[in-house]
Amino acid sequence: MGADHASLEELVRWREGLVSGEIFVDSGIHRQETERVFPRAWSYLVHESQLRQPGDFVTTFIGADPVLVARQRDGSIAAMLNSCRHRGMAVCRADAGHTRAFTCPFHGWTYDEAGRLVNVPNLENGYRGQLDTSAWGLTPVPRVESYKGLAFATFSSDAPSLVDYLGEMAWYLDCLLDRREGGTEVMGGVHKIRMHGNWKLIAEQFAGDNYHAGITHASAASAMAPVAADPSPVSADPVPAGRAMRFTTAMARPGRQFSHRQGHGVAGFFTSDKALTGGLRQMARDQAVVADYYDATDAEVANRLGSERAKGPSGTAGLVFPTFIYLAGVFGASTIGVAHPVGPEHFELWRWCLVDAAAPPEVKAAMVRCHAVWPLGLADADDGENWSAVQAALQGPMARRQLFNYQMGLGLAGPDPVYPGTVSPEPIGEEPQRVFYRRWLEYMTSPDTWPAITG
Amino acid sequence: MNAALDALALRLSIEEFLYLEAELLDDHRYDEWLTLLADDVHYWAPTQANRLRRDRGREASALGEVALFDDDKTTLGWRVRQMGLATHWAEDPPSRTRHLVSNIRIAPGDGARELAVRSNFLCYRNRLRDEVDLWAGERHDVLRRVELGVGGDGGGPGWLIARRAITLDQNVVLSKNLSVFF
Repeated sequence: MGADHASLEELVRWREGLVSGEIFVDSGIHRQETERVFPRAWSYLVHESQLRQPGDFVTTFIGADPVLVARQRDGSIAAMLNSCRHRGMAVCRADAGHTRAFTCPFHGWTYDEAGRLVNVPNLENGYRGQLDTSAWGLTPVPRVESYKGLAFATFSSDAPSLVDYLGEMAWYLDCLLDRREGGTEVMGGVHKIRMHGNWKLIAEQFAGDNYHAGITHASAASAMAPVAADPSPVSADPVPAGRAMRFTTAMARPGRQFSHRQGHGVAGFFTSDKALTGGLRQMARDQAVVADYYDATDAEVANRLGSERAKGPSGTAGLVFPTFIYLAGVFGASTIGVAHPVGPEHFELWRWCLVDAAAPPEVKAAMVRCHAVWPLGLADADDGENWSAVQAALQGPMARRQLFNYQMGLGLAGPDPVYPGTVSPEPIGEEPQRVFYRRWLEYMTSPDTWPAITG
Repeated sequence: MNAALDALALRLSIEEFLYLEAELLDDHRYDEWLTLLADDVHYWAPTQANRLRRDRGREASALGEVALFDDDKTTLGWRVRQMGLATHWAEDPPSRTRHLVSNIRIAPGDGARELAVRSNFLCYRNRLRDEVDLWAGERHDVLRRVELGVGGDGGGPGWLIARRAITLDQNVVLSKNLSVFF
C-alpha cells in the first residue's frame, strides 16, 4: 500500500487513540521508516564505558544501516557506515574489539579508526595515483553526542542537540544514570535476541505499557515471590491466583507516567516508594545484596537528585525515541538496550546490564546475576510470546485493517506539581504510546531534514 | 580387563543419567529435573560474541558478565515454578521439545566423587502451529557421585549435576525466548 500523508493519517489517529495494525506489517511503511525515522532521530550507539581506549570499537545499526563506532585518538567517539566505499562490503564483521585499521576483505581498501581511507591496493598502477583518497573515507554519521555516558547519533544536520532532544526526559534518565559520583558503566557481555514482531511493539511497550506487566509477567512475579509469603506448592495447578493478583495490585499503586513530545516516555513509576523493590530483600541472596546497596546509597542519591527521584521513578521502563530502552532497578538489575528493526516482521533486542561505576564488585556481580534471571529469563519468555502472537495474527488483511485501542487515560495528561514535563496522573495508561505515534507520524510525513513538531 | 569394564560401566551410568535428564525435560517433569541438580549447582550459559581472529578465545562472556543463564538452585527453582503456572503464556499451550545428547566425554574431576563430563546437544522445539527452534551446543558438566537413593525416583540415578556451563552456538539468540533448559 502507499504510505502517503493522507493514508498514514488514517492509520494513526492518535487524537482518538486509534492505531491501525497495518503499520506493524506493511513493507512499504517499513521502508519509509528506514528512510525517514531512523536516520533523522537520535539513535542510541554505545555506552562510553565500552570504548575505553582509542581504537576500541563496536559494530551496531542505526535502523537498517550497519554502523561502526570507534573511540578516537582525541578521546571523542566517531560513527560511520560499516560499508566500504568501493563495493559496500562491511569492513568489520566483529561485534567489538580493538584495532588500528579496518581492512575490507573484498579488495583491501583500508580505513583507520576515524574512517579515513589510508590504504588502497594498486593505487599507483591501477588508479595511476589519481584516486583522491581523502574523498573516499567511510561515510560518517555526522553528529555524535553523549548524555551521561550514553552516546547517540543522527544523520540530520537540523536535529536539535541531544540534550534538547531529550528535554525533560533527561530528568527521568538521571534516576538511572546519575545516582552516584562517577556515573555508570555497563558490565561485559551483551545479550542479543531476535524477536518475531515489529520494532514499534517493543518501543511503545517501553514508552508507556505498564499495563501489561501485571498480566504478562504474572507468572514471573509469582514464581519469584518469596515462598513464605505464599506456601503454594512449587508447581501448583491451578495457578496460585493470590500471588498473581497481588502483583497486579502492586502495579496499581499511586504513580505517574511521563510522555515527551519527541516521542519519549516513562512507562509508569510509583510515587510512594521504590517500585517492586519492597520484597527484594526476601527474594534471594543476590536480590538482598542489591536491596542493601539501594538502602546504603539512598541518602547519596537523594542528595544528588532530590528525594522525589530517590524514591520515585525507579523500578520502571522507559524509551528514548525511537529505540533506546531501559529498565531502572527492576528486581535487582538495571538494563539499557536498543531494539534494532529487522524488516517489518522482526526486531533484535540488544541489552546490557548497567551499574553504578562506584558500586562495590560484589554488588555488581549480584546485579548481573539478577539481570540474567529477570529480565533476560523470566520476563523475556512471556514478552516474546506476546510480540510473535501479535505479528502472526496481523498477517491477514482483515486483521491488520483493525484499529487498535490506545484510549486509556485519554485527556488526563498535563503538568504535575512534582514531576517535570507532561505527566499522567496514573501509573498505568496510554498517553506515552499516543505521543509516540503522534511523533512517528510527523517523521513519516515530513520530507524535511528534520521533522518539525507541529501543534 | 577389569579397568576396561569399569570404564564401560561408568560410561553407561553417565549416559543413562544424561538420557534420564533429557527425558524429564522433554516430558515437562521439571520438578523431578530439579532433583538432579546439586543444592550448590551453578547453571551458566555465557553469551557468544563475534570476535576478530586475534581475539579468539574471548568470544564467550566471562563469569560475572552478562549471561543467558547464570543461575543457582534458587533461581532455577523460580524458572521451574514459572513453567508450572497457568499464567506462563509462553508455555501455554506447552511447547514440544526433544533433547538429543551425544559426544559424551568423561574425564576425572576435582575430587574423588566428581567427574568432568562434556556432551553435545541438539534441542528441537516445536510450538503452536508452525514455530520451530533449533539449538545446538556443548555442555561442560561437573557430575557428583551420590549414594543411590538420592535424587530422582526408584533408587536414584547415582549422580547430581554440580555445575553446568553451556556453550550455545548462537551469537544472536534466534528464538523468541529461552523458556527451555539445556
